[in-house]
Amino acid sequence: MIVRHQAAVAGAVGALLLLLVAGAPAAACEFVYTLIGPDGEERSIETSNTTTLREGAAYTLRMAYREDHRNCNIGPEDTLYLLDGARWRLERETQPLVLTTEPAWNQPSSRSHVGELQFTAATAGEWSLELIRTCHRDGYAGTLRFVVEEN
Amino acid sequence: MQGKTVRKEGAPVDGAENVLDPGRRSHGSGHGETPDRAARLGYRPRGEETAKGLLGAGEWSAGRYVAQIAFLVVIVGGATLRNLAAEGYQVPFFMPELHGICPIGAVQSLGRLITDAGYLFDPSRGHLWVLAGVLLVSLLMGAAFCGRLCPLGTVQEWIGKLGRRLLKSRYGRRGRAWRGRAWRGRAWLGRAWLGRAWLGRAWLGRAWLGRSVASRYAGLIRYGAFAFVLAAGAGWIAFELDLINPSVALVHMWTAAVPVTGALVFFGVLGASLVVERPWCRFLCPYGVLQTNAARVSPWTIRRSPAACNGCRECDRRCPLGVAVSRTVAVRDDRCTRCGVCVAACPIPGALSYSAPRGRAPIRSGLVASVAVLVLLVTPIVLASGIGLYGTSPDAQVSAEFDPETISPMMSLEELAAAAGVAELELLALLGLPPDYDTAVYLFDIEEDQEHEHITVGFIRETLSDRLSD
Ligand code: SF4
Ligand code: SF4
Repeated sequence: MIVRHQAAVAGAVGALLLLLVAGAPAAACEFVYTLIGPDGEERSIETSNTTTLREGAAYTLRMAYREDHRNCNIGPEDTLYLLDGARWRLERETQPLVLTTEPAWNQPSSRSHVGELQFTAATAGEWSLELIRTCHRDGYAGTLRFVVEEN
Repeated sequence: MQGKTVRKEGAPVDGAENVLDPGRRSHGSGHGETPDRAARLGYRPRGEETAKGLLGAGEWSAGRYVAQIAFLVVIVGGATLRNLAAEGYQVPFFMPELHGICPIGAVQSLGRLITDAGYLFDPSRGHLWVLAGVLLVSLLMGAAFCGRLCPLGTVQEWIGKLGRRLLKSRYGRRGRAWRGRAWRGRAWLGRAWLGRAWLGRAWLGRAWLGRSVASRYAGLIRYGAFAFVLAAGAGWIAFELDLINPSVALVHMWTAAVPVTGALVFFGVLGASLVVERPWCRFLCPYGVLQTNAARVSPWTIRRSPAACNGCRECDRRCPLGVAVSRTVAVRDDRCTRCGVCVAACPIPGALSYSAPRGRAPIRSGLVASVAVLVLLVTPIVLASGIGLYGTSPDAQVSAEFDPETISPMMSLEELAAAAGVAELELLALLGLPPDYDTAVYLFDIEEDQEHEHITVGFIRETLSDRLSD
């Protein structure tokens, strides 16, 4: 009798907890960013901080991520870049950061990807660059913030 | 005699040695005497009824099998459906993705934490909270996660059952008994050893791995594996751990994500499970290192009451991992997964229990034990979720109270209208799009059309922000 009672309570508690955990979404793939300045100096940049750039200077942005979910259905080329909410287009002079080379990706190991793109900090001001990978799992969304200082 | 064989709590126990110790035969009674003694003492023999229950091992085992099957379905089924989601398969809500379940992934995360403390506070990283749950289970209940929930442990155990049926004496009790004779040298000169051992029994089964020097120290290999995975997780060693991860192979078996080497390791583990009980757990698992060390202090463990025990050693014979339960008062053996088989097999009620010190708070059924493990496992996850350290999606697209800043470029106009609570026509008008515009178009695609080049995601966010603030 005690066993049955214990088992019933245990079953109910277990089911409740599983439901609670089930509500939690899975981990997303995670990007690590490195900015290489005109002098070749590398610095790691984070989505939580604002990065200062010099007006007119050319930079390389290195992006690295790992497919946390495995079997990613979208390749690195499908990453979406939005500069201040608009698609970041190649050689679009009207954008404050001018993309000078398309992102080029390589795959150092089965689930890791590293890509680089180059841009010029053309216009002084505060700009945001969103990187978005949307998939049926969690995908990724990160925003880099830049302040371009006048020369 | 009895006093001689009872060890202090935490004293090392060697199952194989115990099982074969001839001196033990004079301790208490042989198996055949058990019912008599039990009857004399007025105990109800439970061995028979427990051994013949569901799946052949009684309610203790049934409660464990239910948990094992359910967890295997949740983890492998969930992963399979997630892999097929692109083809339109839905993942039910009760199949969450629990990354820290993977024995290599969990230790890898711990390594990552060494070099990146911020990892702990990143809500999108669930591994560490699952690991915390597994450690909590181990600290309180011993390595019960291995025995009740771990999918890799479960498949090894099942294959082991098959191995017992197929190999019989090479795997089971008789194999162990034979092994003892060989080890003592009785059979060194005889046909029994030369004929049977070299022709496979000893070398194939636990006879070799379970008894040899390799076996005694093979458990230490796990520490090497642990150090390696930790170093790879911390980034001190450049190695793609998926290449050797049998757990990934198990969970993603039917997909291209599994490297050939990982699949080979997985099938190697399954093959070895045919002849050795839980080879991965005992000799290689890095997660096991954390769990067995935490288990050394667990208040709930298998406890034997020397006063009630009649020395029949049925517990020793039934233990699938060769733990010498009858030689200890509290099992602290690294191999013990708290499966409860010994408790169920003991014919003397009260002689063996899965309980806290002095037999307090005994866990009386397999189902209760399984649910207790599940509760402890999810406790850190639930707490971390409560304080926002676990499970906050980094790209939550639509909040309950609509925030234009959360508008994703991958939303369609249709979805945006629904999320913002405005009619589609109203939204189109607001953005300056014609009323017959296709609302299935993604927001980031609107600017592709030269005519609507200015309608970028940024513009849409701004427009809706203005509208909300009006
Ligand atoms: S604990 Fe139970 S099964 Fe083990 S030796 Fe004692 S009486 Fe026998
Ligand atoms: S000692 Fe008992 S609980 Fe531990 S593994 Fe052996 S049978 Fe299972």
